Amino acid sequence: MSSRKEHVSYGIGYDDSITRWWTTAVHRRPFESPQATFDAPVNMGEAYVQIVYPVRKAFLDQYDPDTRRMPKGPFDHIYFPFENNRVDFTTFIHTPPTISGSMPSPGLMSRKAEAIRSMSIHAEASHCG
Amino acid sequence: MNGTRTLTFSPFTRNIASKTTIQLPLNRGMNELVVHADELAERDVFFYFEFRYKGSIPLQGVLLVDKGARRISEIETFLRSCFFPRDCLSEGNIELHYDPSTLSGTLDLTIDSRTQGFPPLQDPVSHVVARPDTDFVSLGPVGNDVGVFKLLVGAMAGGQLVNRELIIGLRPTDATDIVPMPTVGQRKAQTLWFIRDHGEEVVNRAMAICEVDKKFTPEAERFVLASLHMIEEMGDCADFHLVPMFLLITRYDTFLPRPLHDRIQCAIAKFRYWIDEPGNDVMWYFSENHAFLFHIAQYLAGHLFPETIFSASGRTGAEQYRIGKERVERWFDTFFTYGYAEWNSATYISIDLIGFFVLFEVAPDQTIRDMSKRALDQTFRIMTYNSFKGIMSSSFGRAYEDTLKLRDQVEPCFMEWVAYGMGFVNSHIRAVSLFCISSYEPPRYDRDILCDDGQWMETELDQGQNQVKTYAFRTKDYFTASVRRFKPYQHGHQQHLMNVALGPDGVQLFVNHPGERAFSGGNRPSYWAGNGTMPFIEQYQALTMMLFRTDPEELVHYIHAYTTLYLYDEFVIHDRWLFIKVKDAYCGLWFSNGFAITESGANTGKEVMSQGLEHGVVVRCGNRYAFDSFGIFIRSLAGRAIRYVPDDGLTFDDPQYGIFHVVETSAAIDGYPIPYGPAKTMTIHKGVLEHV
Repeated sequence: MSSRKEHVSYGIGYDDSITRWWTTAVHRRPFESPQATFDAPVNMGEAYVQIVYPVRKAFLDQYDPDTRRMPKGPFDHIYFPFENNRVDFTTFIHTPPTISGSMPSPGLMSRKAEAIRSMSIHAEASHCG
Repeated sequence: MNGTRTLTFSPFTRNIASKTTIQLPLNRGMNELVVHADELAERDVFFYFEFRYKGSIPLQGVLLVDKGARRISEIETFLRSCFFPRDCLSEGNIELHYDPSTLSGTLDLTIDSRTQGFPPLQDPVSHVVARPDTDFVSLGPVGNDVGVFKLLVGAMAGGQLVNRELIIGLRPTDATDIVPMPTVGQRKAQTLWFIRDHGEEVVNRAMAICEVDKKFTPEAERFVLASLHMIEEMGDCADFHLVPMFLLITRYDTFLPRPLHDRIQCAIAKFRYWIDEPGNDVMWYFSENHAFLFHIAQYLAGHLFPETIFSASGRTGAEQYRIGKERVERWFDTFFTYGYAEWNSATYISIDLIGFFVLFEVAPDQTIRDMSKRALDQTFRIMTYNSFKGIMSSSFGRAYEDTLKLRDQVEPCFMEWVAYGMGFVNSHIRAVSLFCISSYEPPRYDRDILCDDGQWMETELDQGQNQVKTYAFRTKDYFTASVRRFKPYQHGHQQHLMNVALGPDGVQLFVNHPGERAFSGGNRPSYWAGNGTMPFIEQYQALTMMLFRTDPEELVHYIHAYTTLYLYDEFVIHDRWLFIKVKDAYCGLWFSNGFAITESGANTGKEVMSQGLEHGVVVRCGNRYAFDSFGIFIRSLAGRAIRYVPDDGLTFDDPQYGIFHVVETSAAIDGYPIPYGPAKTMTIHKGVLEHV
């Protein structure tokens, strides 16, 4: 990242989202889990219902986020948000793969950087997936 | 952050966003933040993150690039300005409009129609040049493609493709403007010829080819294989493909090459028919439409292959038949007791119809065939009573952007064309093809809904176990529908709660609270489909009153209306009223917070927005018969007292109905509560419009 020289800049004020990111491709790997039965009621309404399939239980059983290493790239795509506030890879996949993607950010600069040695970003992170 | 792991956040709650607040140490100058996201993808995958800054000191976001930073910014601005002036085209050129002031010179654009979940264009233009001396570029003539398409419009800068998605509907006159013949049988034959050459590339279309060509063509084989692949890999929605496959292997078996027949039979024997059979797929079983098709598949598979051992369950076909039959009967029992859970859904009623038609044709039991006949009648009645000029124009239990904005492209519209010669021919052919193959003919429900000048008709029906109160009011010139008092102020999903159709072409209009900011995003609720926070709605004949109290946590802090200004004969803005005229149909929209017409970007000319979290909205329809002229309609409404105070609700002195007041979750006219009783069967009233 450091070899990149030019800046695409944008302001980030209170409650604004950080929306422009370099990303990896979204990687898919088929996820095989043991064959299992389960039970859940048919939805008798129109609203969303949450039903945890055995395949998700198997995924969560074997997934340890603390052992995940941050990938080193290549970060060769730019995510452009347009009107979206989310960095959004929402899609539809008929069979169960795991999907993953990585995004090293933009740089973040304080506009008053000369006036302060360091600061904290107080941010709210929402995540779906 | 700057090379140090700062946060691990892994709630993994499927498709529901989780939130946390974090402190990030930021050094002086440039800082680098890296985010990694994992998920198990199951069908519709909401896969996103949002990083919202909660600090008070302004920051500068910096995207470092090797070169072309200025060009990247220019292209972003240009693409943000792009729009199609019309959502659906039938002839002429496909023109992409833009703001030429965003260009410093010519810009080479790439056009790609190969987007997930949408069909590709058959003969697409892939490159065009946008120029600063004009405000549009032609993407070529409307060709032979029929359907809804999502185009990726992009340009290169700094070695990067910057692109965005835009939706367009195409219903070319040359292909779809077919004059309906007088009888259902004749229209079925016309339709099969159309489907032979157009529509979704699935097994259903292969059967249309067999009907028309009397042979199994290579194209038919390709369509069967596409469906068979879905069944073999047990992909989500495989049940939509499997149920018609039973019709193929019974009625059209003599057309099939033996190896293909055997492969289909093998897939049927390996399929997983319910969750009590072991499996590791992520097919969705639990909605009304999916459950029904799985049960039908089990029932028919068991009947056709009684000696076969089905590998997922280990049961014989005879056992599968018995279990499947019980489940189908139970599904019908619930359906006949409560009606549709996914009420009026133009998307999912079509899926249920796949099941009804296949059972009507090939169910081995007369009782099941009788039930499917009854269900078909009931469904055609619902479709027709909720259609205006052949377009299903009502509220929907579940909806998507394209099923709302491009309603002439949804399957019930095509179904109405076959049944009654109204509506439009389009690319959604899964149930339509089966209707045309079937001997079923619906009762003449189209005669029930005829309104002459001056007549009105209202219908009310409680649907589903939740007894959702669906209501519609029609005259010859307009149709206005809603769900009364449905889950007010709760977070929504895909529920489309109110709708208006105007004039002889059924021009559509609705008001909702966007569920996300992306204009054509895939989340539920989305920008157009569903509501972030659902409003309180009360409708009395041609008057609809809405109260919005949006949760501040919602992403969008305004409401909006879908208003295709280009289809109106006239529109007038008067204070906080928007008045619309489409031939002899009139509509007045009043927003308590005022409104602005969207004049830039993808929604240009198709949207009005009203800022704020709390709103009162009035939607009043009228016509020339009742009001004599558009001018009188405007004066009649604009001159009446209207008031909205969040704590005291919305009050409107209607020129015909009296003083209408809604507050919180109650509604009254002239101080008397509006009746809100049960309507377990379709309640119908008819009358004569009063002159105002």
